[in-house]
Amino acid sequence: MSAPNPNLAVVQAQTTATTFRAEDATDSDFFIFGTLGSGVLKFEVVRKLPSKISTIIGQEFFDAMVAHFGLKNIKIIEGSWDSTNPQRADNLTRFNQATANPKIPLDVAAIIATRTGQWADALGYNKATFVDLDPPNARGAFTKVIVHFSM
Amino acid sequence: MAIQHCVVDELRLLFKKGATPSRLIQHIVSSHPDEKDHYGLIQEYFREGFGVQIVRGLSPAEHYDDIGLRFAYLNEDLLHEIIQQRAAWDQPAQLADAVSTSWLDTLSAKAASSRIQEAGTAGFSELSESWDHLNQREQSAIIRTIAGFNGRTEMVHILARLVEQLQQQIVHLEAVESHSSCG
Repeated sequence: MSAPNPNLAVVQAQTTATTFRAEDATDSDFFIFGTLGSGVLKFEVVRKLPSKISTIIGQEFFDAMVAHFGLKNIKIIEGSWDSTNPQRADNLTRFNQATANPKIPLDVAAIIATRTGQWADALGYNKATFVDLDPPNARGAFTKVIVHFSM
Repeated sequence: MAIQHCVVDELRLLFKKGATPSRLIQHIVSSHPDEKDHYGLIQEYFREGFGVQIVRGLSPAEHYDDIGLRFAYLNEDLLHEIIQQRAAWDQPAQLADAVSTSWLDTLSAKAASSRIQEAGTAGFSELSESWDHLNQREQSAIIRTIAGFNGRTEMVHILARLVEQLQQQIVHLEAVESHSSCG
């Protein structure tokens, strides 16, 4: 693992055994916030906005969060993507682009096409289980996806 | 950053009276006028007040003035989860002076994983002859679809009750206003 990005600043006031927050020290519009409850890791990361991009890549934020919680404590990494905020629809867009191809199974698309899936897969969380898909049969046009990545 | 227990109680009471998540956020922000980190405050209050693990889609740069409808998505994201957790945050002893009944009282909301488990164990009598011929992926797709439908049905009930709660508050305010103008 490479050295941590020097611009990645942990927000101590919101970092506990069950929560983690870090931001780009050069622009706090870019951040990660994650929580761990009952072994389920839920998080949100923002590293790109329409007019600017962070000096920290998403995986650096993600790796810092996982290191904080400890891999052994994480049973499930949850991906929760929806279309309500177009500025933060990167994973959903990627998932829809992949699932527009009917030959690609949904779980494979979640792992290979999305950032969260790729990061989870790299840690060995390579089994994707869908908790919610809406509309239920809308390959290429899902508006809400909740998927659990597990080992 | 320290959350205040009296604000937690106020948030719970506001919610029971029909305040939406965006209104709760505005109350949080106005209760901490000197706090700059609204994002962190909101996360802490929703976790402490309602057992919500994460509130997604908020920006650290947001000031929550004149918010219009742009946080309407929070109703979709959070109402169901808050009601799922009601047993943990709406304890009578904690809210002794609170409203005795609320729009929440007849509502049910289950976590997605619970709905999937229930849908799987309930079985489908209409599919009894063909179920065993489906592979696991196909069975999972049907179970997930049923569970998703059940979740949206719960959500419709939640929104229906909330809408009516808010309508009744409008009726009340209209009556007050009408009375005042005649006086």
